[in-house]
Amino acid sequence: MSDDTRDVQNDAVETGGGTVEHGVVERALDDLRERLASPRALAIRTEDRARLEKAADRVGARFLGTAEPVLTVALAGGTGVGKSTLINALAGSSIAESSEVRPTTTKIRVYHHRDVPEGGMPRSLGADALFVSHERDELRRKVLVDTPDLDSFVIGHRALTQKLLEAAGLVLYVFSPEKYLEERTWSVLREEHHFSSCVAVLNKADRVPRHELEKLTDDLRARFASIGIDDVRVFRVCAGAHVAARNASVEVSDDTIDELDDLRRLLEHELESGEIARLIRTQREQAIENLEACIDRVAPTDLDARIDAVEPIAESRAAAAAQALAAKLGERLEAIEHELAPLATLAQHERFRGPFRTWLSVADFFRYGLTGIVQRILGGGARGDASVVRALLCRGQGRALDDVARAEARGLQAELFDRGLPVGAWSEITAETEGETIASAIADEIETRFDLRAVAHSARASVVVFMASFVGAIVPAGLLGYSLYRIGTDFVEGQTTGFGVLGQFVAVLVLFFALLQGIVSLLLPGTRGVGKGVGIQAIGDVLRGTLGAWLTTYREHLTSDAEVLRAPLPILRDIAEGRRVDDPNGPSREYEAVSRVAESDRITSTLRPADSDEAEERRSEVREEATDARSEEPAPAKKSADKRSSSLASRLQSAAARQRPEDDE
Amino acid sequence: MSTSPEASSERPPAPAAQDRDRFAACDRVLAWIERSHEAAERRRAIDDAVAEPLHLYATSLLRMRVRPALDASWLDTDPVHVSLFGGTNSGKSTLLNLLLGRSAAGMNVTARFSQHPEAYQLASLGDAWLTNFPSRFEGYRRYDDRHPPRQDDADLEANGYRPAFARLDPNHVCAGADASPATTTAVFWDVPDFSTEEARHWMSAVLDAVALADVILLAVTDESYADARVATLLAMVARADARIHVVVNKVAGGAALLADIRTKLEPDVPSDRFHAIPFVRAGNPESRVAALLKTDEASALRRAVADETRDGLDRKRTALAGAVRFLEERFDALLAPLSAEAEAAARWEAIVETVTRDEFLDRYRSDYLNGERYGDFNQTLVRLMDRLEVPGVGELVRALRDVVRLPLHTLTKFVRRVVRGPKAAPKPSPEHEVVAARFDAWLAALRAKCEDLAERDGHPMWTKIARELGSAECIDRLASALEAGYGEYRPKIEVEIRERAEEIYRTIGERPVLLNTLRGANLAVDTAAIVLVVKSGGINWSDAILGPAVAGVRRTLFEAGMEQYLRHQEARLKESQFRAIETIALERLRAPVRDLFHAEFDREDLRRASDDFALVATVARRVAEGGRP
Repeated sequence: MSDDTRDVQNDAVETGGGTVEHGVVERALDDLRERLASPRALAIRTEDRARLEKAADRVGARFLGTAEPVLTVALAGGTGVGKSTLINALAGSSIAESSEVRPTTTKIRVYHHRDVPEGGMPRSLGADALFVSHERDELRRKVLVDTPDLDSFVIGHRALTQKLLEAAGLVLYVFSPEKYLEERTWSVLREEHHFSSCVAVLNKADRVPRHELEKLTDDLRARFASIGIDDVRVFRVCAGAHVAARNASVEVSDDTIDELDDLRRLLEHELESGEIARLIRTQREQAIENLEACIDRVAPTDLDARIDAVEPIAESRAAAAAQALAAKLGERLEAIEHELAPLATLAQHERFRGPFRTWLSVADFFRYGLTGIVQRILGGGARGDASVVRALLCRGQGRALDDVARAEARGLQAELFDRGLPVGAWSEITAETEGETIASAIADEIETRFDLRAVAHSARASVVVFMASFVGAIVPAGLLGYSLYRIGTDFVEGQTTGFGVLGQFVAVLVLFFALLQGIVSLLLPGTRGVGKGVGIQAIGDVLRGTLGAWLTTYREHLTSDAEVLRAPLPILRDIAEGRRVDDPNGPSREYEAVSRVAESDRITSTLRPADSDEAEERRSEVREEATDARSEEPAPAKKSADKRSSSLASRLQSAAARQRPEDDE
Repeated sequence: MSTSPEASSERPPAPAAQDRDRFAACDRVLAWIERSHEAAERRRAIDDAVAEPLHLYATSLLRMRVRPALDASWLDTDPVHVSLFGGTNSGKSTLLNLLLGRSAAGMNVTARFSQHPEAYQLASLGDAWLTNFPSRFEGYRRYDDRHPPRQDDADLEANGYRPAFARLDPNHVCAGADASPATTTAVFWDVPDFSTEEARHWMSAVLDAVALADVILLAVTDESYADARVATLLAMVARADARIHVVVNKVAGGAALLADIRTKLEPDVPSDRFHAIPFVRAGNPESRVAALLKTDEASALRRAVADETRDGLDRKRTALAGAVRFLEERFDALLAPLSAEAEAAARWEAIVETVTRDEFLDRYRSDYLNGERYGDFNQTLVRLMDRLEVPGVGELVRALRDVVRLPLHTLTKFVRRVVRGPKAAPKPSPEHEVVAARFDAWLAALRAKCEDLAERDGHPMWTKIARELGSAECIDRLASALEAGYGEYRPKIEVEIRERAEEIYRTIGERPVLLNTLRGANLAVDTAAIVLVVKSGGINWSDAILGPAVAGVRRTLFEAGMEQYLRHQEARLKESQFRAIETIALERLRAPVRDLFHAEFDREDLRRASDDFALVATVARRVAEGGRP
């Protein structure tokens, strides 16, 4: 007894048992199921979904059991083969009802040691089970479970039994001479034997003559061998002979084979605690592997790489589309450039100070006239009214931009499809971008670029501006002073000829300012050629930004799906390998962070690339936290890819959200 | 002991034309149901539940019962068939031996021992029931007085089931008889099991034997009577009004068991058709049969079967009527997988139609015909101007213009060739550009739709079409078809333009003043052109003059009150252009892409299948009511 107990404690530590993780595992699995039901981007086929759900259930059943490793021994088989009779025989008392009326057993019946909490059943199954406790120490670490049938017309029985088998470590498949190759039983066995150990029990051995029984046993062994179990242990028993005589037909003669004692020995002694711990560990690993395989089917590990492969295509497509579009919009772009050039000049002139600025204003007034410009000056340098540009750009061509957006979306969709990536989410993402959106982005971009050019800061420009403003103030002041002095002295001398100086003064001033402006325009680059080719660059940038933002959003959706689906794996692995020593006060930080990414993503799902900045900020904040918490690597390649695409996205955002140009520099 | 290779080796004399109709109709219906079965298998989701083998059973009913009944000789030639039906090891063969009164059928303790239906009948009964209805066992290999060879599990898995059946005389198979057969006028069928994994291979053979039977004995045991598969199959067969007796075999328990079996199966089988055969322990199967034959229960079963056989004709008619009703009620469900297939084809057709209209034709109209770059009507006016030249003088003026222009024209042509190379592709016309752009958009839209469907719908055809639409070969094929079509279309439109010009010219001709004004103006323009050409040393100014000249003609005509008329002409030209492009798009783009969905049938075919079935059902029902086919 004491040996046994110590073993139990050791293994509890070894297998990392403890109720602490349940919360984490359960939440991770719940999130997985929820995401599986409504993925954001992944296209999951019905059968893959069913398989993955089953794998998750299986993992849940194996990890959400009791704290200490207990081997669940399930009896499974068709109705009427004698499962309940067998469990009664093993228990040595009538714990399960057995009857000739089929199907007899409708509930799971658990025969467990009274020290095993909750009978070792996962909560989901325990609720509807019947428990019988015992004090047999040889069965301390094994829970015997009688199940309903696998093959009766009560469909729920099969489902319930299959659920229980997910948690079972050892399954006694009970057969009878009549029912030993039934499809209903074997279809379950074929799948379950990958996850649990199995033993065959051929019950009612007394119903057929000895030589026929041997034939049956051979046939049964052959069937097990055909699914890869060459060394299955087959116990031929007459369970009915070991329970209180109910059935008169059980006549145990000397000739009858009855190996119930061997079966009992196997359960009570051969399966000792070390063996049990080993079994549980390998089975857990198998369940995790199965889960991972199922996840890999649904969300292959190279999703990111596949999107990476599309990115250069997107870039080149964007460039080509920009060329085509610019050719189409060529005249309009020229018109826009023509329209905007004065604005650029004005913006540049705004940087000068003092009298020279006044001169420039007057000069500009004569040069460009009143239209729009005056308003602009009066409005205190009102900037960013792109409506004129947009209108010019869109007139009759909104459709051309629509066409470009559609063509690019569809072209890239084909690329994604060819790489086996889901396209449903893609078409949703891209459907929200309209020609008009792109037009305004281009218009904004053009405006921004003009502003940028005009006020481009360089040390030389600043010096020139400062010097020009300075000289433009000093020289007129000097001239004015000199003129006043001349007028004053003349006046004192009683002459009025001094007033003639005023005329000279004005003439010299005009000459001076004209000269200064000439020098400035020579020294300041860009005033003259401002705006040339800005249109095509803007188009290229906006298209590249749009496509990049689509891809980024798409990648985010996919990555989020994959992350949520994969979240349980490391947790489970840690628990399985006993590596995990957790903060008992709550779920791990890492999981928290991952799930918060998931949550925040959910809030801002299916967004247009240009969304509110706070959401993006919050999202990236959380993501950073998640990356920190994830002690291991996010692969460096992926990181840089993220950076690249996010910069594309932010570029588009800056254009769309009319950010200040300085941010972009 | 001969083995005839195919049951259908000898055919009865060819039936009359009207007869052929109903037989052919029945064969067509059978073919449709088989196809439907294949489609259902292809698209079946992973489903753990026991599925009702509806298609197989319907096929069996048509082959075994309905089609023979279309033959006038059916009721006279076909004996009563009694089939033993049950799960593995439920004792079907033992029960059969009880009926035959000897251990003729092989009894084996291992499951899935029987693989082929075996008919036990006295040789005296003859084999007219086989030879008269060769279509019944078409595809089966027939063995006379010999058990067909068993296939082992690996062979079944690798090569599939080879259908076979045996016709055995109990007297030949088993010499020593414990009792005489329960009846000498019936054919007894030993049927393979339906409950092992292997049973899926021979399920169609099982259902054939069940559909053939006028009396079905369902063998169950205390272990198997509540099985889902028993319940499913029993419910299905019972709904076809088959005469079913339940035989509870190996009864060791008491009355409670039998009562429970009755309660559970009674909805499908009336309570007076239950029989119980006790469990007998014996060293070998033969002695077990001998021991069982002595029991009252066995005698009662033999009596019941003999009674049923006596009412054979009624049984046959009722079962026929039941089969027809069963098929009628489920006919739509039977063809549902095909309807889904036909729906998918129709869906694709609709998509192609919509996309061709929206992305190609409507946009061609708005982008080109109603767009800024439409030039064909101006072309018409140019032609009109050619017609408007002053008779006699006009040709002279034009010839003069060409002569003056010749030196520089030749020079520029030469320079152009040197600079650009000889094969510089001419700039495509606006119309051509629009058509090409629309083609790209059209193709991309179709492909995107297909990809979307491939993901959501799961029909393999969508993926196939999406890949096909993305392949360079297919794009080239479509593009060159379109190019060829456009190449043919353009000359036709040139003709049309000339006709329009001619018509306008004729209309103008009705107003001589207007005609002469225009002629004068035209002459002035031409002369001006020549003067310019001469002045500028051969530079061709006529193109520069053409625009304003055309506008001038237009204005003159407008002022002459012909605006309405011109608009009408323009609309007519546009309309004929649109029609021509529409024909090209529909024939050269829509049709080949629509045919990418290789639908082997459409809804019309399915409707015809329903008609065929209706014909078959009418004839069969007449037979069931005692008439002649």
